[in-house]
Amino acid sequence: MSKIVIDATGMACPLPIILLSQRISEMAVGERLTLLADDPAAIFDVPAWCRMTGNSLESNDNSTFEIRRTS
Amino acid sequence: MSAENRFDSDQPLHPKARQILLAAFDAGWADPRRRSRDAALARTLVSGAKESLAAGLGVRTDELCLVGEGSLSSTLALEGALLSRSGTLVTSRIERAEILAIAASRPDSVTIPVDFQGRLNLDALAKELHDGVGVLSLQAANGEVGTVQPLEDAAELATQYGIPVHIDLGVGAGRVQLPAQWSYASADSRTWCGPTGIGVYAIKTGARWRYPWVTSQERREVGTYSIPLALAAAAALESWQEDEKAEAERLFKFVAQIRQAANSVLDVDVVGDPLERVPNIVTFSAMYCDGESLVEEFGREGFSVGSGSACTSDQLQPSHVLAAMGALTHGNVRVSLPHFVLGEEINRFCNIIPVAIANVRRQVQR
Repeated sequence: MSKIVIDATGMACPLPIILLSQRISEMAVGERLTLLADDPAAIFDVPAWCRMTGNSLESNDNSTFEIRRTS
Repeated sequence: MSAENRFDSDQPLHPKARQILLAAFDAGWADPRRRSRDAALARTLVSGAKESLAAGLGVRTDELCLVGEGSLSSTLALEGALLSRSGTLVTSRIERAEILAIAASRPDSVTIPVDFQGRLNLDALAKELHDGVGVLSLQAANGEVGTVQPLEDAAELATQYGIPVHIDLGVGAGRVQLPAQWSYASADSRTWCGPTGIGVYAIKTGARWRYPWVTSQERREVGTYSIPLALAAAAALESWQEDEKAEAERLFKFVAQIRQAANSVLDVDVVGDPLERVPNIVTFSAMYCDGESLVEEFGREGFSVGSGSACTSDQLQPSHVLAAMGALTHGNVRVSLPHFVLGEEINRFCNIIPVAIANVRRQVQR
Protein backbone atom coordinates (compact mmCIF):
# COMPACT_ATOMS: atom_id res chain seq x y z
CA MET A 1 0.00 0.00 0.00
CA SER A 2 1.18 3.52 -0.82
CA LYS A 3 1.80 6.22 1.78
CA ILE A 4 -1.17 8.17 0.45
CA VAL A 5 -4.43 6.31 1.06
CA ILE A 6 -7.95 7.41 0.16
CA ASP A 7 -10.58 5.47 2.01
CA ALA A 8 -13.77 5.68 -0.06
CA THR A 9 -15.23 2.53 1.46
CA GLY A 10 -19.02 2.75 1.60
CA MET A 11 -19.17 5.67 -0.85
CA ALA A 12 -21.12 5.41 -4.10
CA CYS A 13 -19.71 6.42 -7.49
CA PRO A 14 -18.84 9.05 -8.57
CA LEU A 15 -17.60 10.09 -5.09
CA PRO A 16 -14.58 7.74 -4.98
CA ILE A 17 -13.56 9.01 -8.43
CA ILE A 18 -13.96 12.65 -7.38
CA LEU A 19 -11.78 12.10 -4.29
CA LEU A 20 -9.24 10.24 -6.41
CA SER A 21 -9.05 13.03 -8.97
CA GLN A 22 -8.77 15.80 -6.34
CA ARG A 23 -6.01 14.03 -4.42
CA ILE A 24 -4.00 13.02 -7.47
CA SER A 25 -4.02 16.58 -8.83
CA GLU A 26 -2.06 17.61 -5.70
CA MET A 27 0.56 14.91 -6.24
CA ALA A 28 3.73 14.99 -8.35
CA VAL A 29 3.96 12.94 -11.55
CA GLY A 30 5.33 9.52 -10.64
CA GLU A 31 3.81 9.47 -7.14
CA ARG A 32 1.41 6.69 -6.18
CA LEU A 33 -1.70 6.42 -4.09
CA THR A 34 -3.97 3.68 -2.82
CA LEU A 35 -7.72 3.97 -3.23
CA LEU A 36 -10.06 1.80 -1.18
CA ALA A 37 -13.47 1.69 -2.85
CA ASP A 38 -16.09 -1.05 -2.58
CA ASP A 39 -18.87 0.50 -4.68
CA PRO A 40 -19.88 -2.03 -7.39
CA ALA A 41 -19.12 0.56 -10.09
CA ALA A 42 -15.59 1.32 -8.85
CA ILE A 43 -14.08 -1.81 -10.34
CA PHE A 44 -15.12 -0.52 -13.80
CA ASP A 45 -14.84 3.21 -13.23
CA VAL A 46 -11.33 3.38 -11.74
CA PRO A 47 -9.76 1.76 -14.84
CA ALA A 48 -11.98 3.93 -17.11
CA TRP A 49 -10.93 7.08 -15.22
CA CYS A 50 -7.24 6.11 -15.55
CA ARG A 51 -7.71 5.56 -19.30
CA MET A 52 -9.51 8.89 -19.78
CA THR A 53 -7.06 10.94 -17.72
CA GLY A 54 -3.89 9.13 -18.84
CA ASN A 55 -2.95 7.89 -15.37
CA SER A 56 -1.69 4.42 -14.64
CA LEU A 57 -3.56 1.72 -12.77
CA GLU A 58 -0.73 -0.35 -11.27
CA SER A 59 -2.88 -2.92 -9.52
CA ASN A 60 -6.49 -3.67 -8.84
CA ASP A 61 -7.25 -6.18 -6.15
CA ASN A 62 -10.39 -6.69 -4.12
CA SER A 63 -11.54 -3.04 -3.81
CA THR A 64 -7.93 -1.85 -3.42
CA PHE A 65 -6.59 0.18 -6.34
CA GLU A 66 -2.98 1.34 -6.76
CA ILE A 67 -2.73 4.35 -9.04
CA ARG A 68 0.39 6.19 -10.22
CA ARG A 69 0.18 9.73 -11.51
CA THR A 70 1.60 9.63 -15.02
CA SER A 71 0.13 12.79 -16.54
CA MET B 1 -41.34 23.47 -19.31
CA SER B 2 -41.97 22.23 -22.85
CA ALA B 3 -43.78 19.03 -23.77
CA GLU B 4 -41.97 15.83 -22.90
CA ASN B 5 -39.56 14.52 -25.52
CA ARG B 6 -39.25 10.77 -25.16
CA PHE B 7 -35.55 10.18 -25.76
CA ASP B 8 -35.57 6.85 -23.91
CA SER B 9 -36.19 3.38 -25.29
CA ASP B 10 -39.79 3.31 -24.07
CA GLN B 11 -41.83 4.42 -27.07
CA PRO B 12 -45.63 4.69 -27.34
CA LEU B 13 -47.67 2.38 -29.57
CA HIS B 14 -47.50 3.32 -33.26
CA PRO B 15 -50.74 5.16 -34.22
CA LYS B 16 -51.41 2.68 -37.05
CA ALA B 17 -51.12 -0.20 -34.61
CA ARG B 18 -53.58 1.49 -32.30
CA GLN B 19 -56.21 1.71 -35.08
CA ILE B 20 -55.78 -1.95 -35.97
CA LEU B 21 -55.84 -2.96 -32.33
CA LEU B 22 -59.26 -1.40 -31.72
CA ALA B 23 -60.77 -2.90 -34.88
CA ALA B 24 -59.23 -6.30 -34.22
CA PHE B 25 -60.75 -6.71 -30.78
CA ASP B 26 -64.13 -6.88 -32.54
CA ALA B 27 -63.07 -9.39 -35.20
CA GLY B 28 -60.33 -11.56 -33.73
CA TRP B 29 -61.71 -12.92 -30.48
CA ALA B 30 -62.07 -16.61 -31.38
CA ASP B 31 -59.53 -19.39 -30.79
CA PRO B 32 -58.09 -20.09 -34.26
CA ARG B 33 -57.56 -23.77 -33.39
CA ARG B 34 -61.31 -24.40 -33.25
CA ARG B 35 -63.56 -25.10 -36.22
CA SER B 36 -66.27 -22.42 -36.08
CA ARG B 37 -66.65 -19.65 -38.66
CA ASP B 38 -65.29 -17.12 -36.20
CA ALA B 39 -62.31 -19.39 -35.68
CA ALA B 40 -61.77 -19.48 -39.44
CA LEU B 41 -61.75 -15.69 -39.51
CA ALA B 42 -59.30 -15.62 -36.59
CA ARG B 43 -57.07 -18.10 -38.46
CA THR B 44 -57.07 -15.88 -41.53
CA LEU B 45 -56.19 -12.85 -39.42
CA VAL B 46 -53.31 -14.67 -37.72
CA SER B 47 -51.82 -15.98 -40.94
CA GLY B 48 -52.04 -12.49 -42.45
CA ALA B 49 -50.23 -11.05 -39.44
CA LYS B 50 -47.57 -13.75 -39.55
CA GLU B 51 -47.04 -13.25 -43.28
CA SER B 52 -46.53 -9.56 -42.74
CA LEU B 53 -44.21 -9.99 -39.71
CA ALA B 54 -42.15 -12.60 -41.56
CA ALA B 55 -41.73 -10.31 -44.56
CA GLY B 56 -40.69 -7.44 -42.31
CA LEU B 57 -38.09 -9.49 -40.44
CA GLY B 58 -36.76 -11.30 -43.52
CA VAL B 59 -37.86 -14.86 -42.69
CA ARG B 60 -40.39 -17.27 -44.23
CA THR B 61 -43.94 -17.26 -42.90
CA ASP B 62 -43.79 -20.95 -41.94
CA GLU B 63 -40.59 -20.27 -39.94
CA LEU B 64 -42.26 -17.63 -37.77
CA CYS B 65 -43.75 -18.26 -34.30
CA LEU B 66 -45.51 -15.96 -31.85
CA VAL B 67 -45.59 -15.90 -28.06
CA GLY B 68 -47.71 -13.73 -25.79
CA GLU B 69 -44.81 -12.18 -23.90
CA GLY B 70 -42.14 -10.20 -25.69
CA SER B 71 -39.14 -11.23 -23.65
CA LEU B 72 -40.00 -14.94 -23.89
CA SER B 73 -39.20 -15.05 -27.61
CA SER B 74 -35.44 -15.14 -27.08
CA THR B 75 -35.73 -17.67 -24.24
CA LEU B 76 -37.87 -20.00 -26.39
CA ALA B 77 -35.70 -19.67 -29.48
CA LEU B 78 -32.42 -20.22 -27.65
CA GLU B 79 -33.49 -22.83 -25.06
CA GLY B 80 -35.17 -24.85 -27.82
CA ALA B 81 -32.03 -24.66 -29.92
CA LEU B 82 -29.79 -25.74 -27.02
CA LEU B 83 -32.13 -28.64 -26.13
CA SER B 84 -32.07 -30.02 -29.65
CA ARG B 85 -28.34 -30.79 -29.58
CA SER B 86 -25.41 -31.42 -27.24
CA GLY B 87 -22.71 -28.83 -26.75
CA THR B 88 -22.08 -25.53 -25.02
CA LEU B 89 -23.45 -22.03 -25.50
CA VAL B 90 -21.19 -19.28 -26.80
CA THR B 91 -22.48 -15.71 -26.61
CA SER B 92 -21.18 -12.20 -25.94
CA ARG B 93 -20.81 -10.17 -22.74
CA ILE B 94 -23.20 -7.44 -23.89
CA GLU B 95 -26.31 -9.54 -24.59
CA ARG B 96 -29.65 -8.78 -22.96
CA ALA B 97 -30.37 -10.09 -19.46
CA GLU B 98 -32.52 -13.00 -20.74
CA ILE B 99 -29.67 -14.39 -22.83
CA LEU B 100 -27.04 -13.86 -20.12
CA ALA B 101 -29.33 -15.63 -17.63
CA ILE B 102 -29.41 -18.68 -19.90
CA ALA B 103 -25.62 -18.51 -20.21
CA ALA B 104 -25.28 -18.24 -16.41
CA SER B 105 -27.51 -21.30 -15.93
CA ARG B 106 -25.09 -23.39 -18.01
CA PRO B 107 -21.71 -23.50 -16.26
CA ASP B 108 -19.78 -24.38 -19.41
CA SER B 109 -21.02 -21.33 -21.35
CA VAL B 110 -18.48 -18.92 -22.79
CA THR B 111 -19.11 -15.16 -23.06
CA ILE B 112 -16.95 -13.41 -25.66
CA PRO B 113 -15.50 -9.96 -24.83
CA VAL B 114 -16.22 -6.85 -26.89
CA ASP B 115 -13.94 -4.00 -27.87
CA PHE B 116 -14.13 -0.42 -26.63
CA GLN B 117 -16.82 0.39 -29.24
CA GLY B 118 -18.99 -2.47 -28.03
CA ARG B 119 -18.23 -4.68 -31.03
CA LEU B 120 -17.80 -8.42 -30.68
CA ASN B 121 -14.13 -9.45 -30.69
CA LEU B 122 -14.02 -11.82 -33.69
CA ASP B 123 -10.53 -13.16 -32.85
CA ALA B 124 -11.69 -14.12 -29.37
CA LEU B 125 -14.79 -15.70 -30.90
CA ALA B 126 -12.73 -17.74 -33.38
CA LYS B 127 -10.68 -19.17 -30.47
CA GLU B 128 -13.79 -20.32 -28.63
CA LEU B 129 -15.52 -22.06 -31.53
CA HIS B 130 -14.97 -25.82 -31.89
CA ASP B 131 -16.92 -29.06 -32.36
CA GLY B 132 -18.07 -29.02 -28.73
CA VAL B 133 -20.07 -25.82 -29.13
CA GLY B 134 -23.84 -26.32 -29.45
CA VAL B 135 -25.14 -22.84 -30.31
CA LEU B 136 -23.73 -19.37 -30.92
CA SER B 137 -26.13 -16.63 -29.77
CA LEU B 138 -25.52 -13.00 -30.73
CA GLN B 139 -27.44 -9.76 -30.70
CA ALA B 140 -27.89 -7.90 -33.99
CA ALA B 141 -27.22 -4.51 -32.42
CA ASN B 142 -26.79 -3.26 -28.88
CA GLY B 143 -29.77 -1.45 -27.40
CA GLU B 144 -27.70 0.62 -24.98
CA VAL B 145 -24.91 1.91 -27.18
CA GLY B 146 -26.25 1.23 -30.69
CA THR B 147 -23.26 -0.69 -32.07
CA VAL B 148 -24.19 -3.12 -34.87
CA GLN B 149 -22.48 -6.50 -34.54
CA PRO B 150 -20.43 -8.20 -37.30
CA LEU B 151 -23.11 -10.88 -37.72
CA GLU B 152 -22.11 -12.06 -41.18
CA ASP B 153 -18.47 -12.70 -40.15
CA ALA B 154 -19.44 -14.32 -36.86
CA ALA B 155 -22.03 -16.60 -38.48
CA GLU B 156 -19.52 -17.59 -41.13
CA LEU B 157 -17.00 -18.62 -38.43
CA ALA B 158 -19.67 -20.68 -36.65
CA THR B 159 -20.78 -22.39 -39.82
CA GLN B 160 -17.24 -23.75 -40.36
CA TYR B 161 -17.88 -25.95 -37.31
CA GLY B 162 -21.53 -26.63 -38.15
CA ILE B 163 -22.62 -24.49 -35.18
CA PRO B 164 -26.11 -23.01 -35.62
CA VAL B 165 -26.51 -19.30 -34.88
CA HIS B 166 -29.26 -17.62 -32.87
CA ILE B 167 -29.72 -13.91 -33.53
CA ASP B 168 -31.40 -11.80 -30.85
CA LEU B 169 -32.67 -9.05 -33.14
CA GLY B 170 -33.25 -6.53 -30.32
CA VAL B 171 -33.05 -2.95 -31.59
CA GLY B 172 -31.87 -4.35 -34.92
CA ALA B 173 -35.34 -5.82 -35.59
CA GLY B 174 -36.76 -4.59 -38.87
CA ARG B 175 -33.57 -2.77 -39.83
CA VAL B 176 -30.56 -5.08 -39.46
CA GLN B 177 -30.52 -7.98 -41.89
CA LEU B 178 -30.16 -11.51 -40.57
CA PRO B 179 -26.87 -13.11 -41.64
CA ALA B 180 -27.15 -15.65 -44.47
CA GLN B 181 -26.29 -18.45 -42.03
CA TRP B 182 -28.88 -17.81 -39.29
CA SER B 183 -30.81 -20.69 -37.71
CA TYR B 184 -32.88 -18.99 -34.99
CA ALA B 185 -34.01 -15.40 -34.49
CA SER B 186 -36.06 -13.60 -31.87
CA ALA B 187 -37.57 -10.15 -31.38
CA ASP B 188 -39.97 -8.18 -29.20
CA SER B 189 -42.81 -6.22 -30.80
CA ARG B 190 -42.11 -3.22 -28.54
CA THR B 191 -38.88 -2.60 -30.49
CA TRP B 192 -40.87 -1.33 -33.49
CA CYS B 193 -43.50 0.56 -31.44
CA GLY B 194 -45.77 -2.48 -31.46
CA PRO B 195 -47.80 -3.50 -28.43
CA THR B 196 -46.47 -5.00 -25.20
CA GLY B 197 -47.20 -8.73 -25.02
CA ILE B 198 -46.08 -10.09 -28.39
CA GLY B 199 -42.77 -11.82 -28.95
CA VAL B 200 -41.71 -13.12 -32.35
CA TYR B 201 -39.23 -15.91 -33.00
CA ALA B 202 -38.22 -17.82 -36.08
CA ILE B 203 -36.77 -21.28 -36.57
CA LYS B 204 -35.16 -21.65 -39.97
CA THR B 205 -36.42 -24.44 -42.20
CA GLY B 206 -34.28 -27.50 -41.52
CA ALA B 207 -32.87 -26.22 -38.20
CA ARG B 208 -33.27 -28.59 -35.25
CA TRP B 209 -35.28 -27.24 -32.33
CA ARG B 210 -37.13 -28.79 -29.38
CA TYR B 211 -39.94 -27.26 -27.35
CA PRO B 212 -38.19 -26.41 -24.06
CA TRP B 213 -41.07 -26.97 -21.62
CA VAL B 214 -43.13 -29.99 -20.56
CA THR B 215 -45.76 -30.69 -23.21
CA SER B 216 -48.09 -33.50 -24.24
CA GLN B 217 -47.52 -32.99 -27.95
CA GLU B 218 -44.88 -31.75 -30.36
CA ARG B 219 -45.20 -28.01 -30.71
CA ARG B 220 -43.33 -24.86 -31.64
CA GLU B 221 -45.61 -22.25 -30.07
CA VAL B 222 -46.62 -22.03 -26.42
CA GLY B 223 -50.33 -21.82 -27.21
CA THR B 224 -52.76 -18.97 -27.65
CA TYR B 225 -51.80 -15.34 -27.76
CA SER B 226 -53.88 -12.23 -28.29
CA ILE B 227 -54.80 -12.03 -31.98
CA PRO B 228 -55.50 -8.28 -31.82
CA LEU B 229 -52.01 -7.77 -30.38
CA ALA B 230 -50.49 -9.95 -33.11
CA LEU B 231 -52.29 -7.90 -35.79
CA ALA B 232 -51.21 -4.67 -34.14
CA ALA B 233 -47.61 -5.92 -33.96
CA ALA B 234 -47.70 -6.67 -37.70
CA ALA B 235 -49.26 -3.31 -38.56
CA ALA B 236 -46.75 -1.52 -36.34
CA LEU B 237 -43.78 -3.25 -37.96
CA GLU B 238 -44.98 -2.37 -41.44
CA SER B 239 -45.57 1.29 -40.58
CA TRP B 240 -42.45 1.56 -38.42
CA GLN B 241 -40.29 0.23 -41.27
CA GLU B 242 -41.76 2.85 -43.63
CA ASP B 243 -41.03 5.54 -41.05
CA GLU B 244 -37.53 4.16 -40.49
CA LYS B 245 -36.80 4.25 -44.21
CA ALA B 246 -37.83 7.89 -44.33
CA GLU B 247 -36.16 8.85 -41.04
CA ALA B 248 -32.95 6.82 -40.72
CA GLU B 249 -30.70 9.35 -42.43
CA ARG B 250 -32.03 12.28 -40.38
CA LEU B 251 -31.73 10.36 -37.10
CA PHE B 252 -28.20 9.24 -37.97
CA LYS B 253 -27.17 12.89 -38.39
CA PHE B 254 -28.94 13.97 -35.21
CA VAL B 255 -27.04 11.32 -33.25
CA ALA B 256 -23.79 12.53 -34.81
CA GLN B 257 -24.72 16.06 -33.68
CA ILE B 258 -25.41 14.89 -30.10
CA ARG B 259 -22.16 12.88 -30.05
CA GLN B 260 -20.25 15.98 -31.09
CA ALA B 261 -21.98 18.16 -28.50
CA ALA B 262 -21.22 15.64 -25.72
CA ASN B 263 -17.64 15.17 -26.92
CA SER B 264 -16.93 18.87 -26.73
CA VAL B 265 -17.56 18.86 -22.95
CA LEU B 266 -14.44 18.20 -20.87
CA ASP B 267 -14.11 14.67 -19.42
CA VAL B 268 -17.03 13.13 -21.28
CA ASP B 269 -16.79 9.66 -22.79
CA VAL B 270 -19.03 9.13 -25.84
CA VAL B 271 -19.30 5.38 -26.26
CA GLY B 272 -20.40 3.01 -29.02
CA ASP B 273 -19.33 2.94 -32.65
CA PRO B 274 -19.66 6.36 -34.31
CA LEU B 275 -20.58 4.85 -37.70
CA GLU B 276 -21.45 1.14 -37.46
CA ARG B 277 -24.54 1.72 -35.35
CA VAL B 278 -28.32 1.88 -35.49
CA PRO B 279 -29.30 5.43 -36.48
CA ASN B 280 -31.04 6.63 -33.33
CA ILE B 281 -29.04 5.52 -30.26
CA VAL B 282 -26.26 7.40 -28.47
CA THR B 283 -24.72 6.98 -25.02
CA PHE B 284 -22.23 9.13 -23.14
CA SER B 285 -20.77 9.23 -19.63
CA ALA B 286 -19.77 12.42 -17.85
CA MET B 287 -16.97 12.04 -15.33
CA TYR B 288 -17.69 13.23 -11.76
CA CYS B 289 -21.48 13.16 -12.34
CA ASP B 290 -24.03 10.75 -10.99
CA GLY B 291 -26.39 9.34 -13.58
CA GLU B 292 -29.55 9.90 -11.59
CA SER B 293 -28.97 13.65 -11.22
CA LEU B 294 -28.14 13.97 -14.92
CA VAL B 295 -31.37 12.17 -15.88
CA GLU B 296 -33.25 14.58 -13.60
CA GLU B 297 -31.52 17.61 -15.14
CA PHE B 298 -32.64 16.54 -18.63
CA GLY B 299 -36.09 15.70 -17.26
CA ARG B 300 -36.46 19.26 -15.92
CA GLU B 301 -35.87 20.52 -19.45
CA GLY B 302 -38.52 18.20 -20.86
CA PHE B 303 -36.30 15.36 -22.12
CA SER B 304 -36.75 11.86 -20.79
CA VAL B 305 -33.50 9.93 -21.16
CA GLY B 306 -32.19 6.60 -19.87
CA SER B 307 -29.04 5.75 -17.94
CA GLY B 308 -26.80 2.74 -17.40
CA SER B 309 -25.37 4.06 -14.13
CA ALA B 310 -25.66 1.95 -11.00
CA CYS B 311 -27.62 4.61 -9.10
CA THR B 312 -30.44 4.42 -11.69
CA SER B 313 -30.81 0.62 -11.66
CA ASP B 314 -32.99 -1.38 -9.28
CA GLN B 315 -30.10 -3.64 -8.31
CA LEU B 316 -27.70 -0.68 -7.96
CA GLN B 317 -25.41 -2.41 -10.45
CA PRO B 318 -23.89 -0.51 -13.35
CA SER B 319 -24.78 -1.51 -16.92
CA HIS B 320 -23.02 -4.75 -17.85
CA VAL B 321 -22.66 -3.37 -21.39
CA LEU B 322 -20.69 -0.29 -20.32
CA ALA B 323 -18.66 -2.46 -17.94
CA ALA B 324 -17.78 -4.98 -20.68
CA MET B 325 -16.72 -2.14 -22.98
CA GLY B 326 -14.44 -0.59 -20.36
CA ALA B 327 -16.52 2.60 -20.49
CA LEU B 328 -17.14 4.89 -17.54
CA THR B 329 -20.34 3.70 -15.85
CA HIS B 330 -21.12 6.71 -13.66
CA GLY B 331 -22.70 9.86 -15.09
CA ASN B 332 -24.20 7.84 -17.91
CA VAL B 333 -26.92 9.14 -20.24
CA ARG B 334 -28.63 6.95 -22.83
CA VAL B 335 -30.58 8.52 -25.67
CA SER B 336 -32.93 6.77 -28.11
CA LEU B 337 -34.36 9.23 -30.61
CA PRO B 338 -37.92 8.62 -31.83
CA HIS B 339 -38.97 8.95 -35.47
CA PHE B 340 -40.03 12.46 -36.54
CA VAL B 341 -38.20 14.21 -33.71
CA LEU B 342 -37.84 17.91 -34.50
CA GLY B 343 -34.44 19.30 -35.43
CA GLU B 344 -34.98 22.24 -33.08
CA GLU B 345 -35.46 19.84 -30.16
CA ILE B 346 -32.12 18.22 -31.01
CA ASN B 347 -30.49 21.67 -31.03
CA ARG B 348 -32.06 22.43 -27.66
CA PHE B 349 -30.93 19.06 -26.30
CA CYS B 350 -27.36 19.68 -27.48
CA ASN B 351 -27.34 23.10 -25.82
CA ILE B 352 -28.50 21.57 -22.54
CA ILE B 353 -25.77 18.89 -22.42
CA PRO B 354 -22.94 21.15 -21.14
CA VAL B 355 -25.30 23.01 -18.77
CA ALA B 356 -26.73 19.82 -17.27
CA ILE B 357 -23.26 18.34 -16.75
CA ALA B 358 -21.94 21.56 -15.17
CA ASN B 359 -24.95 21.74 -12.83
CA VAL B 360 -24.51 18.16 -11.63
CA ARG B 361 -20.75 18.54 -11.21
CA ARG B 362 -21.34 21.59 -9.03
CA GLN B 363 -23.88 19.74 -6.86
CA VAL B 364 -21.69 16.67 -6.48
CA GLN B 365 -18.56 18.65 -5.51
CA ARG B 366 -20.46 20.33 -2.70
